[in-house]
Amino acid sequence: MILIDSLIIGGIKFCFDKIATAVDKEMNDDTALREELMAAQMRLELGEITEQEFREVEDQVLAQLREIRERQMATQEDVEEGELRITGAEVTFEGDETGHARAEDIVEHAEDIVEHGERRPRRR
Amino acid sequence: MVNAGRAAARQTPPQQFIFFGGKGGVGKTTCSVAAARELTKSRQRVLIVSTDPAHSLGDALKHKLSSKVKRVAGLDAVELDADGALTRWIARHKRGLETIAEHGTYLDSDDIAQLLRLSLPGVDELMGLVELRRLASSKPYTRVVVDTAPTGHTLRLLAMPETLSRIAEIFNDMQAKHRFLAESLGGTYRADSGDAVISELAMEGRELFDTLRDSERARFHWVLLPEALPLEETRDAVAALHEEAIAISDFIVNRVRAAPRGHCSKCSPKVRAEAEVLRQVRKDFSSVRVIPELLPAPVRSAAPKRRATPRHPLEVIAPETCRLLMFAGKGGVGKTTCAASAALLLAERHKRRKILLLSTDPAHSLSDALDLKLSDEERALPGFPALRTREVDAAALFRARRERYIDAIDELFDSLQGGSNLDATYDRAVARDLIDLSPPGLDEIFGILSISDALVPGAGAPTADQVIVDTAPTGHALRLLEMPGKALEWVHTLLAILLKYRKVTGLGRLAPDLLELARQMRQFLDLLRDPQQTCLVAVTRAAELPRLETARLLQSVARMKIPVSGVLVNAVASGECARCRRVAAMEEREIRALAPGHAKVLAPEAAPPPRGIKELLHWGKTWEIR
Ligand SMILES: [Zn+2]
Repeated sequence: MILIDSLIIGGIKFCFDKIATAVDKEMNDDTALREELMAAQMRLELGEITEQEFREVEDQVLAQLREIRERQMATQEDVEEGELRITGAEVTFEGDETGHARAEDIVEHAEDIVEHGERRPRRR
Repeated sequence: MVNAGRAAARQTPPQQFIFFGGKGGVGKTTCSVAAARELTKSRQRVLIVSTDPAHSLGDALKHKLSSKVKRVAGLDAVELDADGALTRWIARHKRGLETIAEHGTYLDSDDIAQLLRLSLPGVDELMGLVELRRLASSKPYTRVVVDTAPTGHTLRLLAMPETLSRIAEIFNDMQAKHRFLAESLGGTYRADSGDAVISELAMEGRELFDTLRDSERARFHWVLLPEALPLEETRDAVAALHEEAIAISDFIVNRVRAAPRGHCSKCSPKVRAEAEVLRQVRKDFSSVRVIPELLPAPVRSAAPKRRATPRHPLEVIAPETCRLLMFAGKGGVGKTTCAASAALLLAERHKRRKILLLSTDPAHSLSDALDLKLSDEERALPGFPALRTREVDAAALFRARRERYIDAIDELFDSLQGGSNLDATYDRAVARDLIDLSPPGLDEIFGILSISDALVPGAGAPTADQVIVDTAPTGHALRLLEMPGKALEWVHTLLAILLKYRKVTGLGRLAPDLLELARQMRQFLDLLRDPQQTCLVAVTRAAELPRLETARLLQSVARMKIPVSGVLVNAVASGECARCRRVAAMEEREIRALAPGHAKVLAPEAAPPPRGIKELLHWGKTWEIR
């Protein structure tokens, strides 16, 4: 049920939020990469790409994410979780309980990707 | 719709709709047919229409009917096809709808065409009255007899004129910005194809609303059986209709049993109980008609084979691995008592199993059957801590969310104030109206989400080991079962649109949510088609019309690849008087003809039907395998 809520709110936002907010959204490398991965997942769901092709995209994206992470580690000794959250929260919205839970998921998810370097693709 | 005015002008006296409503299985169809035949005798030109997605009108008329009007024995008959009606309606208004969508959204005509091809939940209610009006005005009928779907969905159907008006308002909001722009750029605004759709919808909503409330143009007959629970349901329905300013003119108490000669263990108490119900019906309502039970023609049939099996029928219809047990069937066959009994028996056998007994019929009767106050909040049953039960209240669930949605919209538009003000003003109106519209099909949407959330939740462990569902009558139960597949189609279309615009808008939070929903629905579909985990039980009666409907239910379910674990024949006659023997002989023949190839379970008639935990448990133990 929580899912349907965020879907409906997200849907409305998508329909009306559109270009206005999209234009001023500076995408950093990190977000762009994650969007790339998400798009690949969507294509997999739609059957536009195969599981194999998806895995290739995933490997590529994960490698790049690792690289970014290493670069960040080099410049800044400890990355605050809060900073990561900002990138996560940018694609969501704040002030809503479920929104926070989601943002945290994304952060956790990103941590997983970065730290373990791999993640099983969603089963079809 | 265009010729409605012309047809009305020709007609004297004006056309009258005669609705037959009531719980499923009370004999609405038979009463509608009888009334229609009677009307043709007084030189009326009669059309009889069935609006229940599980049509049984053809069975009653003994003619194969379709969505095209057919002449049968002096009257015109038709079975309404809502999906077809919607497709035609959209085709006819395609340009207008596209215009509105292009003015009001950021989608292009390809996207819109894609969306318009998707099927809608709640289409039976949404299109029912519109199509009914179209059919009624296709010829100068003086009387249109309407055989409706069982109570819950008929109430939704009758509320649809307001929904149509609201849809018109939303479309109007979507056009408003365009109109404003056109006017502000100088020149006068000329109404376009979009505006034509809006005014037609608004007119349609208004006309239907008025027609239903005009006793000259619409009459409502309520059919019920002389039993305590149907009487309670009738009271609820009358109150709900009264609130809508719709009045029921006639009450028909059907199948009243005659007193047996001598004593009969089934008929004697039944006749006493019926007399009490009749007394109350007469006290509560005016214009009550009583129709005695029609006995079947005498038939000869071999004595039933009784096979003593050590196994309880539940082991057949709900084996150990079963996680989703659904009771489906025509209205009034006793799905609720069967589902409740099964849940109690299973809970008694498996003390620790977390069982959820769920009603997805908007006209809930689980509370009445269990004799407990139930609501949309899960509650444990006394004496069965692991058995929880809930009546899904889609309207309340939606109401609870509306506030949250509206807040989110306001928050969004407040944050947009810096941008284009014009967009924000008009778009905010559209967004708010959209949320205000409680869309059709909510019962099916929240019904399926409640089941799938309990069994295959997005995150965490399932909250129930087993879910037992008391479904709405056949037509809408099938709509419910179609939901996961339809949801997946919707999700896929939306994902494709999202991908297309991702460079402009980004994927945002919508993408992972949609993917998650797709994953949940696919998991649920897997479960739904797994004979190890899903068991659908078709509940029926040993009579011709229920048997024919059961055959169609089994066919539809097979087409959806949903496994059936058995057919439960409810209320099998077991009395010893002449009436009961005659009925038993007819039933025996029906049972033999019923659902070949499926396991059959017989549940004996209980008079009155079992009510409360103790009686339900006791009754469930008398079921037999045939
Ligand atoms: Zn009897």
